[in-house]
Amino acid sequence: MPDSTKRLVIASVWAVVLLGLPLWWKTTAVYRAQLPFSQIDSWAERKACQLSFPSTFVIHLASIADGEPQAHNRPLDFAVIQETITSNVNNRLSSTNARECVEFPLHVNIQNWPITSDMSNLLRHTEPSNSKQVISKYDIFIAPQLPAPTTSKLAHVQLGDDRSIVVTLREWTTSDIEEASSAVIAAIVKGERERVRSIACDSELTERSNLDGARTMKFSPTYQMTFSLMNGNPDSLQVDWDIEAAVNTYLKPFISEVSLVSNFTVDSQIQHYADLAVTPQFMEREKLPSYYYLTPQTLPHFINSAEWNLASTISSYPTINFILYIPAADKTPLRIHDDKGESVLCERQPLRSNAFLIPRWGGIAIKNPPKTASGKLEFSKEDLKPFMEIFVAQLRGLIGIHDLKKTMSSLESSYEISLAPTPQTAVTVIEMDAVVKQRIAENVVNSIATLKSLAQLVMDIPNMVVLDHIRTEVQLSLDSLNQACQALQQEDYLKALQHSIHAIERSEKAFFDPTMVSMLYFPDEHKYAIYMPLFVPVSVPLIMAVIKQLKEYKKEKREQKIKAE
Amino acid sequence: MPWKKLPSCIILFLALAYPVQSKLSGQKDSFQEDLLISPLKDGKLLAHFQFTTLVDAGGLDGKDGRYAHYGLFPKSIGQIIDHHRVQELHLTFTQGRWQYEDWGYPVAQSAGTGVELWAWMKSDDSIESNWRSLTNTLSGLFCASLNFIDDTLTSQPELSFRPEGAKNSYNHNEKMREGTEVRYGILPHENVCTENLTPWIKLLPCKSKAGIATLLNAHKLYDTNYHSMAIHIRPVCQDANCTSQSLELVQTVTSVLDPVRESGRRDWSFSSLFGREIQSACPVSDRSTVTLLLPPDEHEYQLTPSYDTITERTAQLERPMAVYNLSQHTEPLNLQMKWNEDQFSYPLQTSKPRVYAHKYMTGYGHERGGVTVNIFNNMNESQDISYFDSVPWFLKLYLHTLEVSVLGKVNIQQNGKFRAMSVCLDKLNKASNLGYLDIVQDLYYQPAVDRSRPQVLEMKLRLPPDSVTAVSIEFDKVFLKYTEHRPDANRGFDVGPAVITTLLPAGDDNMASTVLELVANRQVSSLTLDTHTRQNTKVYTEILLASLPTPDFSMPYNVITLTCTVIALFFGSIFNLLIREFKVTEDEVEEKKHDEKGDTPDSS
Repeated sequence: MPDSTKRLVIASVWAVVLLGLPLWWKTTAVYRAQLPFSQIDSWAERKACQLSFPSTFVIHLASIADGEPQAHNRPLDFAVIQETITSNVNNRLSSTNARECVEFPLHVNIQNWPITSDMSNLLRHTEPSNSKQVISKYDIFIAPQLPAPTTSKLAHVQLGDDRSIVVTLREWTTSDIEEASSAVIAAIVKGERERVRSIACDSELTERSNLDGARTMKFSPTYQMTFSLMNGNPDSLQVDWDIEAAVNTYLKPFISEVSLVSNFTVDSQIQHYADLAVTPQFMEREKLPSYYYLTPQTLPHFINSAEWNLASTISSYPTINFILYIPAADKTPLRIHDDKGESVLCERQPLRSNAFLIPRWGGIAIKNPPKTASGKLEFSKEDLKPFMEIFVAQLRGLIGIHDLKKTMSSLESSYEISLAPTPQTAVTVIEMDAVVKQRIAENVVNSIATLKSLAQLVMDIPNMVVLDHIRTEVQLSLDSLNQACQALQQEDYLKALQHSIHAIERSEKAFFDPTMVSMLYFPDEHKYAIYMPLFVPVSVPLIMAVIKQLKEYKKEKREQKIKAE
Repeated sequence: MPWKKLPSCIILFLALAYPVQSKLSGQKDSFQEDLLISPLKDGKLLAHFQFTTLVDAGGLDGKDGRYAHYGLFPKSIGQIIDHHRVQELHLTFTQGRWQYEDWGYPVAQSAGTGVELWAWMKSDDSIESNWRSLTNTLSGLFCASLNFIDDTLTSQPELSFRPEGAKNSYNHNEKMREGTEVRYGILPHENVCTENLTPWIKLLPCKSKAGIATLLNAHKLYDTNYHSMAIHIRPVCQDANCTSQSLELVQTVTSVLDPVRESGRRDWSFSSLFGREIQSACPVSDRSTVTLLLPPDEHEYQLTPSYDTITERTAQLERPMAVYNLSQHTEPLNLQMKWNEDQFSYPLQTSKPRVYAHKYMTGYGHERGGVTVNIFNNMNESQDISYFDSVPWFLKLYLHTLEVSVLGKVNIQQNGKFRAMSVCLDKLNKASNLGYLDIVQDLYYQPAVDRSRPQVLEMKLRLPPDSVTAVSIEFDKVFLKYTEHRPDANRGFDVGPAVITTLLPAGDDNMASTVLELVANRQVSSLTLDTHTRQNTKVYTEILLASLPTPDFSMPYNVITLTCTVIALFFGSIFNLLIREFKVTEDEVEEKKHDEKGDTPDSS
């Protein structure tokens, strides 16, 4: 056989092997659907869509009739006022953060307002169904203070339980109008802007350090709320409560108001022999009755989760627990000590509410049974009222409602502020607006983070199967994100909330899909091990033949050289 | 005029007080705890704990369709049955086998070894997903592998496992069963231990902190010959007309202890059996009793402390029972029983129960086999039973091999002799036409679907008096895929027990359950035993171990390796042949030279 034929044979066999290797690689590879990595990255870098949370303020300026006492006659220049207010507000707020990953466009419109006789009507919920439609659209009514002003304060600000604010000015001047309205607008939007910005822009680490973020429950479309009556020792005292009526009276209105963002299921139970996991310390006082107390350090261990049946078995929605704890007779009275006054030598005082909140978990109230109580202690609806008030206040904190009163208090130095009486629902419309915005921001940020970690996971583990439905979920989640972002720009917060909920649900569905576990599949090492008996014996003669041919080729070359010489 | 104001005051007071009071008393939760102890004939001791929680069922299907506020009734159980639309639920964890021949019938409905779950559920489109979700939820709640009760183990009995709630009792169950379906599943291989008992105890209102449940010491409880732990949920009537219903949760622990094992004597006390004493009654319980079923002869034993009440001996109940009412005891109760004998001598002859059964495998090899159930009837009258057997799909039953044969005193008038009679299925009609016993009254058979549903064989049988009825059927063993084997593949597969359901009147072998019913009905003082009421009794047979052909699990790898090696060898030789240069060696060349003389040879 001539050498050329031999080389042809070797080359053709090698060609088959080299062509076959990719085929083998392809046929033994796991299926991986192509995920839209670039889109996910652009979202993660906040380049895909600019998040913006616009708000609109319509300022109604009273048009003063002729007969009234007037401070000035010339008509107000609306355009100038509008501009001044906008820049004033932006000046007040822009100093907080230079890095803007989220925008807060502010629209101010000024209208004439033929003054009506009864201003208090403006502050009421007039059309509750209609008011839901225009989240973040507020009306500010500005009028001169008609009776002679009594206080030295600049203006009187009245907040209703609707989205309307009435400001009565002491002096009807352009500068005062501008000053008052920009102060009010800034006070309303300041808190929510800061929170939305910290959610949207700050990384997970800084959020942890943020007390608000740590307290608020992770978003879920449904929460389970469980009320538990824990009885320390039923030997001496038996307990019962009329929780159903109490929930219906004190909690239902709040829940129905909050259902815009999340739904709640409510149930309750009574647990007997609920032992404390911590031993309370004893405080002996002269002349005063002694008591047992818990320090803030021991409170995290208060929950005896091993023995108190608090877990829910039927669904995986997060549970918010509220516990009314009745201590055993030998631990009564049980109180909670505050952290404050620890360093001071004077006697530390127990908390008056005797209740505390566990972040992202729930709330606990301790009720010491009266000394005279023996046999059976029954809580009627009225008895439960103070505890339900505590629980509602704790629930507000847990779902991220921030007190409007606290936000407005910054104005108190120069303005007289009166808030409409707390409505039955225990949450005002303005507070709810802030919650909606926070939740949208949180959902958008969390779904981006989930998608990002999913992409990271898929890239890090090369032998994990990625099925088509994962890609579909990811795509749908990205679409929902897009729609949420667009709805935000159009100031349609309800739509944005719905889309953001879809986005987070889909991204989590993709991330927690049971097929997304790398351990389920054949690792590459096994593949090599199995084909080793084929590849090694086949490759040895192939390689040897090549080496031999090379050697012969070199030898021939050398011989040719010698011959040539 | 103060007197004028008075009535309006009262009315106002009443108006205020009424809704509050009705609301609080409206939760008609009640809780009862009972312990029944009975010395058995073979020296063992039966301890049966029973905890009954009743809740007004009106609240459970309330107006908003969801019951949310729980008192004594455990919330986790309430949510489970509410969420999965369960009408009735029975879950039993059993370790060991109840010896019917030695011990008579168990107190509460026992079950075969392993974990048995059956439930009557609202039949709608979501029943399958509800059942799946129910098994998964209970699996999580009780730390058991109940989630392995999937489609391949779930069956729908047609003749057995009727509803047990008072609402749908045997007499008028057909009407009440409308809109509900039963699902049954058993895991014979499941081991039961402390991790199942702990969540079970957590369902009790007093947990194990007070009351009878303090005796539930896992260390002692699992050191016994038989142990069974169950929860039964069923609707019961509050009155005779069943105008209102309650939901009843019965939690039981049945355990057969062996005091003879250590000392050779039958003496026992709470502290020796459980290592604990009963400190007090559970404070939230309505009733808290310890009942001791005494031996017939009162000179045989001594009892400390003495009982609170005792029943008279009657014709039906020849063993008196001593009752301790725990709520009246201030001292901790450590019940002690001493027998006036030096050594316990095991009885050589025990009276057999009226109906019992044994199941065993027949045949040999890995290819085919058979299963036979012997059903014994020791009564002098014929007895109707229903037989249920659910066989996994990997044992392929052949219905044509079903054979029901009777060994007993049939046709006694004709020849007065014992006579064996065999009735095959195709001959059944002939046999009944000939005037023989019509043994198989009804038959229901569901063929298996591979990897998705088991075979179900159900029969209504009429057992002839004093007879042994053998039901046998043959099967093929399926060669499973290698991924379908358990990690311990060579152990074999467990096959659940056959279940025989029959209505038996109260009797000597069924004493304990009668007693418990009496205690429950508070008829302890005025004992009237109705012999006509027949009790729904279930008899479970042994579980079986079927050894299926087990593959060599390294085979796929071996095959791949061998194939690869063969291919490699083949390739190597062919390749070598292709590229090898065949040359005539020098010697040959010289020889050739020599031969051809001067011809220059070609190199080939």
